[in-house]
Amino acid sequence: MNERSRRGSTVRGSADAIIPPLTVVVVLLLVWQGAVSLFAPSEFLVPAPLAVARAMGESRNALLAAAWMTGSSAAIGFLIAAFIGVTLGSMLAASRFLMRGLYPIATLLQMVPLVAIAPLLVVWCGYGVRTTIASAVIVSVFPVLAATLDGMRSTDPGLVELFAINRASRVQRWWKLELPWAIPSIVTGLRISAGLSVIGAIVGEFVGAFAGDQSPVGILIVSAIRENRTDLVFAAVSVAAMVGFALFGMVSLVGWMLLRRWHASAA
Amino acid sequence: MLQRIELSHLGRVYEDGCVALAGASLELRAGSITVLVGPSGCGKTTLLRLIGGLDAPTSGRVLFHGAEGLLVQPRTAFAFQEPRLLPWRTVLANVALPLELAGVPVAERAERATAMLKRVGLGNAARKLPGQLSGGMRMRASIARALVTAPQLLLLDEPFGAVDEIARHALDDLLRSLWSELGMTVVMVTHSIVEATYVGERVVVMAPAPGRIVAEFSPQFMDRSSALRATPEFAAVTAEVLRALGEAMVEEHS
Ligand SMILES: Nc1ncnc2c1ncn2[C@@H]1O[C@H](COP(=O)(O)OP(=O)(O)OP(=O)(O)O)[C@@H](O)[C@H]1O
Ligand SMILES: [Mg+2]
Repeated sequence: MNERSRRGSTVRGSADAIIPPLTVVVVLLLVWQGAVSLFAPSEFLVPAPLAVARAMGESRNALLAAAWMTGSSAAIGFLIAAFIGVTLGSMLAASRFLMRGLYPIATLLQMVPLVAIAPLLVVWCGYGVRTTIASAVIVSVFPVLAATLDGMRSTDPGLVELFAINRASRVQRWWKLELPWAIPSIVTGLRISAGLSVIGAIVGEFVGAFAGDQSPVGILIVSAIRENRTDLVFAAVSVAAMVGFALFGMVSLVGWMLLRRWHASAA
Repeated sequence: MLQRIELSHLGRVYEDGCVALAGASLELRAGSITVLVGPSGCGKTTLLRLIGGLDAPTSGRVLFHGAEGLLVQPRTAFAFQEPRLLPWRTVLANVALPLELAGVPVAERAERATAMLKRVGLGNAARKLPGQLSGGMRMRASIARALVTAPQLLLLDEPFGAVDEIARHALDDLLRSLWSELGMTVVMVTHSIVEATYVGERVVVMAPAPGRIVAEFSPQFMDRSSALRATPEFAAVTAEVLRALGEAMVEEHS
């Protein structure tokens, strides 16, 4: 296959990936716009897409600042959660005792609704970005932990034996075998956590952030509701979704770069 | 320096009561190449693992005799039926793994692994990932990794069981030449009578239920090369091995 036709097929490949969802989105927006024009509900209940777009344009500086604030809290929370999740997951995978003792508790803690304990975070971390980050960490840590644990426990016993025959230390076995073996699974967990971290950050902002010169997405939503600016709420929610999508995309990209050469999931 | 390996009434009864091996005795001269052959479940893998210290016997013992009645601990390497390569490492890094785990400096291990890869005919594949190799090439990499530590004892459990017959013949030739060049003691397990007869200086026939040694052959051939497999002398020896195997199976059924 020559260079040009290969490039052509790649372009067609990404078009294949993008065009169907794009079509669906455009159709949905058209239907939404049409329904709003037809039934004319109050702007306060459901704004039309064009109204949301207008709100986005008018408040773009505030929205950009909000996206940056929420996005950076979520990203920091995500990184902390990734570190804690991989570390704890590795520890649990290494010790049957820890695993038996801690994993059920971790699973139970995971069931505690964040929204219910978010006000407590304010008590512990105070108003401000620390509560936001803590909230992001709490929601995104479990998927990474579970994925790390599962990935490591599924290590090929033949390879474990190979390491044992060569008298590998525990640390060598972890670093050179179990961790790389678990990476496909960890990447899957991280992708789930990336999206969750934005949700966690916004919940944290609802209860624990304050409005300053610039407000994060959570505060923007709350104050837009108070001002009956539903169009701005929709705009802020869209921005939050984009932030989540961007984080997810970055994690997927890093995962793909790590795995593309040897793992089928990146093919 | 290892002089001989003595297996004395080796037995292994598994926890579920299965007698995988009932009192096998065998003496292996250092530098010899021995092949264990027998039907599935006759305790070949069990015996090999006992020799390599991956498992402990429930009776009897394995003794490694050195010079002047001293006991020694030989450097031992394994190769298994599956190549057991790490899919994220290049072939070179896979072969260097045992040296890396033993703390050998980077430059030295790269040099030794490269030399061993060349020796098994994978000089050009050093930078490839295992996923890019054929089954036979993966097996060569696995053998190279076993030999990179310069073991005194090489234990092979059906190493070429998963490759096609033509590739297997080439691998058998490679094994023979590595053995005569490096001089380590080799114990290999196989299902294939042709492979056993071709590779083995000594062929040990085993039978199941309970696992035991039933016969032994020392095929003497003037010249071991691919053409040997088609000669009448070779066919005569394989027939004898086959007969021994058949007799063992009949005994079991009566
Ligand atoms: N870990 C184990 N626990 C219980 N029984 C076992 C175990 N490993 C092997 N056995 C039994 O011991 C017997 C011998 O097994 P072994 O694996 O040594 O046979 P083998 O000759 O290598 O067979 P194959 O040619 O199929 O590899 C078999 O009956 C097997 O079921
Ligand atoms: Mg076996």
